[in-house]
Amino acid sequence: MVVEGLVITLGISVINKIIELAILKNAETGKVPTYEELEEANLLTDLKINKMMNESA
Amino acid sequence: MKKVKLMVVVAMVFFLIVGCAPILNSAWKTASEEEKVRLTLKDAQDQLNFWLDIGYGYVKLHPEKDPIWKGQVLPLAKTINGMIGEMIRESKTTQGKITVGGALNRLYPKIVEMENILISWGLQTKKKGG
Repeated sequence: MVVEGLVITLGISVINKIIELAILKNAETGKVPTYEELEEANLLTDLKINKMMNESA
Repeated sequence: MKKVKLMVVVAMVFFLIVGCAPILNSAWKTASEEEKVRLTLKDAQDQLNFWLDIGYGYVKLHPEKDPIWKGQVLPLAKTINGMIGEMIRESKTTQGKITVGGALNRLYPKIVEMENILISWGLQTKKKGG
């Protein structure tokens, strides 16, 4: 019974750590953007709007 | 056996919440004011793109909305995008002068105005994180 408990606890810890690392990795992709990235995204949106403006229905 | 499985699941959820809460909070909490402005501008840009994409899809299916799309929505989007661009340049050159509150006050009335037109067409958002 004690061994089973230890195995379960260890299993939970390992699985949780894997999930935590996955979330952390995901959070890193939402990092603070640089000014260059912001400017690039802004320019792309501008091009997108212009393209939409010039498109006929 | 069912009780043990239930306990395992409860324990996993509990430890996961305890373990992940600081990680999820850390990005915003540890950011400086200037970094928060950048995150706010990125979010505004994402929202603008999101509404443009769904609006564009809707107008393709409902060509009768094209005059409003081109006459109101796109000019508004152009204005918003210009404001975002202006704030990016302003924040870059005068780091720390623009605050999160200032950026939100300037941008969001226009974004909401655009959203309201699209929502009046029946478009709804299920965008993650609002």
